[in-house]
Amino acid sequence: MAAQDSTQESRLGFSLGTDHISFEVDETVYPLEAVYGACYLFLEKCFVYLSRSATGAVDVRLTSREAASPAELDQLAGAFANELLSQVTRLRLSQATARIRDYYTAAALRAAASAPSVDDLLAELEAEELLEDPLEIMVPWEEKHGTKQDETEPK
Amino acid sequence: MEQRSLTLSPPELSEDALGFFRWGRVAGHVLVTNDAGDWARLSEAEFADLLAGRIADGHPRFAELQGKGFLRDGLDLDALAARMAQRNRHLRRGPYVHVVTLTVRGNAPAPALDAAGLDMTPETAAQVAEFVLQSTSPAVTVEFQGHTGEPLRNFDVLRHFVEVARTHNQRSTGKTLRLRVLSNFTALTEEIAEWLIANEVLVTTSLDGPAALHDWNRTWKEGSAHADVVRWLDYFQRRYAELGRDPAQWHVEALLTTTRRTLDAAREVVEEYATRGLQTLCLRPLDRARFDRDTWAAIGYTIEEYLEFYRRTIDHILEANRRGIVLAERTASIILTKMLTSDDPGAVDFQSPHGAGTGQIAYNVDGRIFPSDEARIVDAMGESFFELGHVRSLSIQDIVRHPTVRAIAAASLLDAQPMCADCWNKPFCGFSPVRNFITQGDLFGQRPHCVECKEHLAISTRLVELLTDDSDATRQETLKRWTAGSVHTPTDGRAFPESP
Amino acid sequence: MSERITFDRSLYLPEAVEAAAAAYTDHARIELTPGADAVVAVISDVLEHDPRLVAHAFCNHALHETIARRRQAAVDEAG
Repeated sequence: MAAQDSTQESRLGFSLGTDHISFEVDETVYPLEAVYGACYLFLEKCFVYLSRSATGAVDVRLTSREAASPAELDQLAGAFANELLSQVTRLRLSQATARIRDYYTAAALRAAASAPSVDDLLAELEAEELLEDPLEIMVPWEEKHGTKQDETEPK
Repeated sequence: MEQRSLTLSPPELSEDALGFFRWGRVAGHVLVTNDAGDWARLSEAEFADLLAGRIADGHPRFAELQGKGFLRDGLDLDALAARMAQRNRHLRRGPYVHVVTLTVRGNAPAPALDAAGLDMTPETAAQVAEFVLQSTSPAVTVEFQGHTGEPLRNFDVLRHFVEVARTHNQRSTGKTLRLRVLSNFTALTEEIAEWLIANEVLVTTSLDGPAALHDWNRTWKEGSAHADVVRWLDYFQRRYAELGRDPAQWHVEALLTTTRRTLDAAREVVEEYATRGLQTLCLRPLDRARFDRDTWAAIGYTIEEYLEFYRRTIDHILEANRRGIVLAERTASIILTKMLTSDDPGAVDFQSPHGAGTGQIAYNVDGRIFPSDEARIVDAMGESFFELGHVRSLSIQDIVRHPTVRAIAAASLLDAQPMCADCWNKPFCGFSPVRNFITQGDLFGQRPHCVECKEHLAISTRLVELLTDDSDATRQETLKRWTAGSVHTPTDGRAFPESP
Repeated sequence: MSERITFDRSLYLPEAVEAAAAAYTDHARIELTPGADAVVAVISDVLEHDPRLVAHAFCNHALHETIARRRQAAVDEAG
C-alpha cells in the first residue's frame, strides 16, 4: 500500500453524468477492501457498479436513486471520496492491530467459555501426565502392559 | 460527461502507536470505541493527534485513552480481554429466556389449526417445563403468552406448567426460576389474579397511552379497554403493597404499541405511564412486515418519523424524572448498560451473536421449538424454515448446536458483517437475522437497508449526546440509574416481547 | 428488451452473482454466462418494475453478496 503522509495531498478525478458519478480508483492508493468498504455504505442511497478499465484500477459508478442536481452529485462525490480515505485508515489500523485483536478475542472467548463441567474436569485429569505417581499405581494395567493408546492433545 | 477532481488530504497515521478502535462522528465530535466497550469523545484536533500518534505522556487525553486501551503504549491486553469476557458472558450461560405460547385462541383470526390444536395440552406443557430446566443457565425466565395476546385463556395449563416446573426444580435442578405472564387482561378474573400473586408469577400487560389512544388501538388489535387495564393495574399494585412485597421486583410491567397516532402523543403517553406508577416504558417501532398493506396505511410510519418521536419521548421521560418520577426507557436502559458498564443486560437483540436459540427459546402450542418467538411467528405466517424440532424428541444441547441456530449466530456476529464491523456502535449493538429474513428474505440482509440498524444507531447517538452534555447533572444521574441492575428494569426476559 | 451486465471476476464473486440472480427470480429472468474473466448477466422479462431499476438493484445485490461473502471468508480463515 502506498505510504500516506499528511503533507502528501492526492487528487481523485471523477466524471459527472446526468444521474451518476464515476471514479477511477487507483488500487495502490485505495486497496480493494477499502473500495468495498466505502461502496457498501452507499448501497442505500445509490446504485453502485464496479468494473475495470485498466489493471490496478477500479471504476466505481454511483448512480443516484433519486433525481439529483449537479451540485448534489458533486456533494455525493465528496462524501464518497471522504469515505474512501476513512476506509483506508480503518484498513491500515485493522492490519496493524490484527495480532492484538486475535490475542484479546481468543482470551476473552476462553474466559467466557471457561466454566468447566464435571466431564470436562475428568477429561483434563485423564489427559494430565501422572507426575505425582512414580509407581504408576493409577495407570491401568492395559496401558502399562498392552498396546499404547493414542495420546490426547493437552488442552 | 464533465470531468472534475477532488483534492484529498489523507490523515497522518501512526498505526503502530495505536490499539484497535472504531470511530464515527457524533454531535460535532469524533467518538472512538473499542471491543471492550470503552469509548471517548474527541475533538477533531484530538482525533488527528490520536491517529498521528501524538497522544503521549503529557497530552491532556493520554491517561484516559491509555487506560481505555486506545494507545499501544501501556496496552493491557489481559484487562481488555477480561472486560470483553464480562460483556460476552452470555455465551456460556445457556438459554435463559423461554417463551411459551399457551394458546392461539383470540379474537383475531387464528392460524389454520383444528380446535384441538388451539391450546397447549397439559402433557406438552409438562414436557416444556422439564425441557426448560435442562438449560445450563443458573436462572431461567419463563414468559407465558398467547399468539394473539391472551395466555390466560389456557389458564389451567399455565397452572399445571408452573406446578410441574416448581416441583421438578425443587427436586433436582435448583435454579432461580422466574415466571411472567404477558396478558391483555381479557380473560383475567380475580381468582386468576390471586393465583398469580400467590404463586409469584409476574405480570406484563399492554398499555398504549391515555384512554383515547389505547382504545383506538383496540380497533385493529385485541385487548382490554383502557378502563379495564387500569383497573387491573391498580388491583395488582394494591395487592402487592398489602402483602408487603418489594416494589422493586413486584410491579406490573406494561408494553406500548407505537402506532401513527402515538407519534403525536409522546407527552401524553409518558404522563399516562407516570400516572399509573409504571416504572419502564418500552419504545419500539412497529415491524412493517407483520401487517398487511391496508393496516399499515392506517397505523404505520417511516423509521425517520419514529426516531423523531423517540427523541421527543426520551426528553419527556427525562423531564418526568426531574420531577421525581421513576420511569426508564427500556431500549435506552439496555444500551446504557452496555455503554456505562461491562455487564451484559441479557437482551438477545443486542447481543453479538444474536441470542436466538442460545439465550432465548420459544415453544409453540403444539410443542414445536423455535430459536425465538419471532421465528415462531415466521412459522405462523407459513414459513417453517426456523423450526428446530419437537420438545419430546430434542434436548437443550440439540437446540444450541442446531444448524439453524448456528446459521443465526454466524449471520449476526457483528465482527463478520460489512458495515457493522467498522461501526463505532458495534460494542453496543446487535440485530436479528430472523427479522432480516422477514424484511429482506435472507438472514444477513443488506445492512444499509436494515431498519434495526438505523434505529439502534440513532438511539445510541442520542444517548451519547445526552451523556456528553455536561450542562445537566440531574440528567446524567438519571441516565446512569437506568443501567440494568440499578433501576427497576427487568433484565432476565426478552428485551422486546410483543405487546399482548 | 434485455439488459446485459458484466461482472468482473476480480471484483464480484461468481457465487455472489449467482446468489443475487436467485434472489431476483420473482422480478426478472436472469441468465448467467460465466467466462474466464467475468460473469455476464442478461436480464429480461422484468415483472412489474422499471427494467433499469431492477438492473441497478440486481447489481447492488451482487455487490452486497460479494462483500458479505468475502468478509465471512476472511473471518473463517482467521479462525
